[in-house]
Amino acid sequence: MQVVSGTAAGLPPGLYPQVASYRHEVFVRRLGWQLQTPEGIELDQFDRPDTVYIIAREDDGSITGCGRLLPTTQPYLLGDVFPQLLHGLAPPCTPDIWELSRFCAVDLHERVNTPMGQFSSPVTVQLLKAALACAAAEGAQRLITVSPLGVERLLRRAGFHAHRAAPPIIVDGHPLFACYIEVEPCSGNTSQ
Amino acid sequence: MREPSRASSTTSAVERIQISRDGYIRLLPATFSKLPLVHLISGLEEEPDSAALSSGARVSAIVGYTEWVTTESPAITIGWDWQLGASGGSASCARLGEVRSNVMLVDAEGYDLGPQRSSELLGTAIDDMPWSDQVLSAIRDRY
Repeated sequence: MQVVSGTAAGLPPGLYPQVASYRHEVFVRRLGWQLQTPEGIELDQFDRPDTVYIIAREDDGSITGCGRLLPTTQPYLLGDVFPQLLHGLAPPCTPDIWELSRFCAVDLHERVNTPMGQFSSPVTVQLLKAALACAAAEGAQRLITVSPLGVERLLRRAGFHAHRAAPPIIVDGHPLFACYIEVEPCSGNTSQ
Repeated sequence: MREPSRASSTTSAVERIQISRDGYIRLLPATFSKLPLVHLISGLEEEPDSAALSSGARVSAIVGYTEWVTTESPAITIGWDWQLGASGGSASCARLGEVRSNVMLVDAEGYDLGPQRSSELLGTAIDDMPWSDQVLSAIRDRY
C-alpha cells in the first residue's frame, strides 16, 4: 500500500475523479449518507483547489482509503455545517488547526466493512498517520474532525491522542461530536 | 523547563472553568469532583465484539456507553463504557475501561497531568459517583 497526498492539481492524473467515485461508493452507497451529489461521484463545496487529499492505494491502483484536509482559516465542514457541535464556542480559525473530513478506509473488494471497524485496520492507522504528517507539514498542531462518538474510543485504542472539543449532540439517536487529534511524533501504535 | 499550562489561582471552581487553546478544559482533580454532572445519553454498545469487549467485558455481557455533561459554558463532557452486573441482589453498572472527556487535569502548580493520568483520575472520580441507576433508567426508557 502507498499513500499519496496533495491538492487536486498535484495528484497523479486520473486519481482525483477516482477519489470522487470511491467516496460515492463508501459514503453514499454503503453508509447511506444523504448527500446532494451527482450520480457516481461525491464532491462538495469543500473540495476546492486548496483542499489537501490523502489517499491510500494498492499496487493495482485501487483506492483503499482517503481523507481530506482543510485549513480552518478557510470555510470547513465543522465551522460551516456543524457549528452546533461546538455548543456556542467559536469554531477554530487558526493555521495550526486543520480539519480532517471524509476520512475512511474501506477496501471495496472486502465483503465485510463497518464504519467503526475501520479504525482497527492497519490501512486506517497508516492513513491517519499520513494525514497527521501531511497536516504537520502544513503547520498544523492538531486536527479537528466531525465523527460518530464511538470513533473516539477507537482512535485512542489505536494510540492516537484524541479528545473531544465539546459535548456530543444526538443525531437520529446517535451521538456525534467534534474531535481533536493531536499531531504528535508518536501518534498511533506502530503495531497496528 | 515546564511551564504551567494555565495560571493556577485561588479563584472558585466556577471561575476556573475555561477552555484552553488546544480544546481542553484544565481543572484540578478536586475541582472536577465537585462539578454537577448531568446525564446526556446512554446506550447499548452497537458493536460489542469490536469495541467495549476488548476492554475486558465478557462475551455474554451487556455493555454500553454513557455520556455526562456540565450545564455551564464551556461544558465539560465525559463519557465511559459500562458493563451490567449485579450488586447486592440488584442490577448495577460498573465502569469499563478509560473515561473520555475534554478535561485535562492539572496539579496544584498548573502543570498538565497528561491524558493518561487524567483519564485514570477521572475514572476514579466517576467510580465514586452514583451514576448507575440513572444509566439503567435511561436504558430502560430507550430500549
